[in-house]
Amino acid sequence: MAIGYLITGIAVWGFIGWLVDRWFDLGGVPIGIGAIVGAAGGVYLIARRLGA
Amino acid sequence: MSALSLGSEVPWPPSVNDFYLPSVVDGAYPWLTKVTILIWVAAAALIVFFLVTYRNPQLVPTKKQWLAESIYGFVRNNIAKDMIGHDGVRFAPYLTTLFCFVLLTNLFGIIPGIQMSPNSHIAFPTILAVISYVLFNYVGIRQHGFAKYMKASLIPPAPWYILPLLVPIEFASTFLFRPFTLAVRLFANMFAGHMILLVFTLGGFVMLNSSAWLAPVSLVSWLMTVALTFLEALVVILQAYVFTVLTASYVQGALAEEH
Amino acid sequence: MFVFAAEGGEEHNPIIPIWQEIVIGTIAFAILCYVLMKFVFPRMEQTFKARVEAIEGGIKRAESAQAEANQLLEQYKAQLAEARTDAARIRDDARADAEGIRQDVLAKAREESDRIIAAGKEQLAAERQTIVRELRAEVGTIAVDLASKIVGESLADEARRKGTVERFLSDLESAGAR
Repeated sequence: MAIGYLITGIAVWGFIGWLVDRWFDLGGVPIGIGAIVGAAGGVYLIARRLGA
Repeated sequence: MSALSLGSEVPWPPSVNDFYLPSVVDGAYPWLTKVTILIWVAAAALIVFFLVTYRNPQLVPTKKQWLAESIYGFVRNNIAKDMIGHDGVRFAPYLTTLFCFVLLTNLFGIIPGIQMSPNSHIAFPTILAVISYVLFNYVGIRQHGFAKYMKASLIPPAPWYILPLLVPIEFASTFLFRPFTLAVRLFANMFAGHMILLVFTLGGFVMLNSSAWLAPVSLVSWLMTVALTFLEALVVILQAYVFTVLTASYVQGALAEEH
Repeated sequence: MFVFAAEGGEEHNPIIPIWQEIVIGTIAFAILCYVLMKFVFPRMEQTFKARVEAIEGGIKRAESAQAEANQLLEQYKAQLAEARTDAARIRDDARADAEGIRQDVLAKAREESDRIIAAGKEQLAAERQTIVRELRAEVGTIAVDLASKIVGESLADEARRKGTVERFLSDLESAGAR
């Protein structure tokens, strides 16, 4: 479950980043940003929902 | 399996197509194949088993009745009650049916002479995952009402400015990835298990055919098959258990006030 | 695209389900669910419940028997205690009765003796009274006779003689009583 949130976070925001990249043709940068943002969100969710 | 055609051309390497066996009756593909027959066999076997063992239940159980009861009791007490709480007894009948079905169809993958699990075709895990998906969402909506259920599922306890970041993750994790991972986990385990057994079994034949000197090695390969079959037995039981436990856990999450 | 795939020949994508299999799987699993969830597991729940009830009923029965035995014991004890107090009371009563009878007898005896003594005293007093009266009369007559013999006719006057004698006698009496 915990890892699930992390992977989901990266996947969802990576995908959103990919969409942005497709529209504006930014050379893959938004994908990386999305993945990092998603990872951060995933970690936050793990902490909130499963930790405390 | 094609490997049974001893001495002749052994299909090597094993491929995805080895999972799609031809129809038993010409032209009935894919309505009447090994896996669909196995599905019917599984359903029929379970129905017969439970009806026969529970035809005339006694307070002091007979051996057969005890067996049937302990299967149900295991899922009821160790999965439904443990995961969902006292309310979980309501779901015990479905969870037990699910567990038995997955376990038996998984077991087909390692029973000698059958050695093909229907769950290595994604269609069947998909059906079960969809039922689990519908079940936990239905239960959640009925328990809380649609709006409250959505709110509980999608909005984590967090400051409002992080929510736009978190809500898509929650949505994907609860409503997209859950059924997907549920189905794929079971399918992939069965698929990979069958593939591994194929590799070692067919590999043995390939080595035997290529050179007589390799015969001892092919023997080792077949012994590996046997050993891996035991490993598969573990995986088979574990996957049936995991599928049931995850379904119960999703139901529990839907029933809970806060996730 | 693999929906109508012919026997074996084509490449299958293992991630894409075959719809016929979905149909068959759904039907088979639905039948299985229907039969097991309708006819088997509810009966198992019933059996479980009946079993629990049987066990609880046994416990309850044992408990009620125990309670009954306890009650009986209490009752016996109470009866025994009652009998004991009864016996004690009867003994006490008897003792009290005996005492009463003794007291009665004593009292009667004392009464009797008192009565006898009193009767004796009374008789004595009466006799004394009679003697005193007789004596008084006799002494008077003798005194008068004596005095008349001595004094002669001077004291023959009846009235005065009687008064003198009476006064003398009562003086004498009061002196004797003192």
